[in-house]
Amino acid sequence: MILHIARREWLEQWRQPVMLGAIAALFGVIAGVACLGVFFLDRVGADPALVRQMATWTSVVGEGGVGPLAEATISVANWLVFTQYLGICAVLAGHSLLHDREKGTLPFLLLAPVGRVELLAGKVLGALGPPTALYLLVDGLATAFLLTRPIHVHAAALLPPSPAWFVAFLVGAPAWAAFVSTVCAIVSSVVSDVRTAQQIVWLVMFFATFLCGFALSALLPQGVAVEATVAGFGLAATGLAIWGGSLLMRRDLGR
Amino acid sequence: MIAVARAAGRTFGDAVVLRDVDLEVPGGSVTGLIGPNGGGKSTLLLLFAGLLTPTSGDVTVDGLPATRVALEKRGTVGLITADAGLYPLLTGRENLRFFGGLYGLAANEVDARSAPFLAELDLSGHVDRPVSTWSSGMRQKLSLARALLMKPVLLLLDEPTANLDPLAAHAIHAAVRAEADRGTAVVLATHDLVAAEAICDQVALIDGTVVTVERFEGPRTLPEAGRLLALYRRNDVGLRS
Repeated sequence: MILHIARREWLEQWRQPVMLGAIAALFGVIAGVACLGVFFLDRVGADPALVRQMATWTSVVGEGGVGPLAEATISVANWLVFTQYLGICAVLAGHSLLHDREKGTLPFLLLAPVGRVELLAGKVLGALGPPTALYLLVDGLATAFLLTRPIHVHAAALLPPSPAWFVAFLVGAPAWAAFVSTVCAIVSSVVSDVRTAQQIVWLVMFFATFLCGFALSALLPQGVAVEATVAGFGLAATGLAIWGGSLLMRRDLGR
Repeated sequence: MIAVARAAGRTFGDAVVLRDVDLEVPGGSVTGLIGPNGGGKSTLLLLFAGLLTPTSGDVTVDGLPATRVALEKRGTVGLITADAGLYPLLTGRENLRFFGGLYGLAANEVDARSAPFLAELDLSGHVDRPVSTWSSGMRQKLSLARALLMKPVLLLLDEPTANLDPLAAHAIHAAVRAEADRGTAVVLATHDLVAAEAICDQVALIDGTVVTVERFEGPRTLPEAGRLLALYRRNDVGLRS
């Protein structure tokens, strides 16, 4: 049943190619900026004269060459990538149930013999599907490109083949995206006024994705165990949110 | 009795929308709910649907508290609201398959069950087009087909013909009456007093409570030969709706 509900969400999103294109473009912009930054640092790092000149502009570039700057750049890029992905999922999930309320389909979902856990999980999975596919594709390609640049060795802990990065990229970010999306979906279903629900969704999206993205990227140097723990917390938080949300989403939602 | 409200009331915050409602809805009949805006007709329908819990009294459907019917007797209640409640980017068939799937029906089962309704409602030729391209009358007919998909015991309609042209409204009313004649208990909230008088077996006047119930004797049929309706038909007006 969860998959049945999610599939309908995917079908509707598939019929909105402009929206999918916009999401892909957003991923592309952030990934592109990161790639350009690293490409630029490669060029600078290969020329001692440019390194010396850069050292006069910023103290980050000094005896260690452009390595520290590359590390900072890739760290910020990781944070942007995670935060952006979480934010996009949260907005889609938040608007998923609002869409049902606006189109008048929510009473028919609630009238059907579908448990609240299934309904909420289906909606969250439906919201996560397309952006996750685009995130894996676009940001995966960008990461593969970064790996071809010599500068990446200075930020080895922040990029693959670091296991911590794989855990953060493939498990941690989707887990926390599911959590933030669940919270937004719950908000959009239980707040009686649609305008207020939209505002709260945006507030939750902004602060929650900022913090979750920061945790995922800042803890990368701590290693795979820490990232796996962060991801585990994300999965547990998602489970708790779905359970708690299903209790909140009583039948009175049909009002 | 299929649906029963006993001293049922509902408040929203401090606002008392319904109080001490007593109403019995027998099978094979159409019960009309008429009354002013804000009188509580829609709230009473939502109580019967189990989508709202009564704050006082009891509401039962098919012997169970209405709020438990959806999960324990799937498909017992069919609902139609003023806005059709369909996904506009999906085709009519995809909408039916999705909602049927929520009740455990496979796609081919949904197609087989809905085919007669779609034919009866003149939707067969449109069902593979996105609902966003449909007229409001066609959407409402599809909403009716969806409600009938699970062969409900109780069919609830909340102003199903609001904003529809006369021909589409006539088709909806005729289908609703036919459904009642097949044994379904129908509750119809409407402002269309002429149609209510024509197809309802009993009509409850609702204004915060049941003010009175008017019963009509004899077979109920929708007039087929109204001069203005014939004018629509003669000139092929609204046949796509």
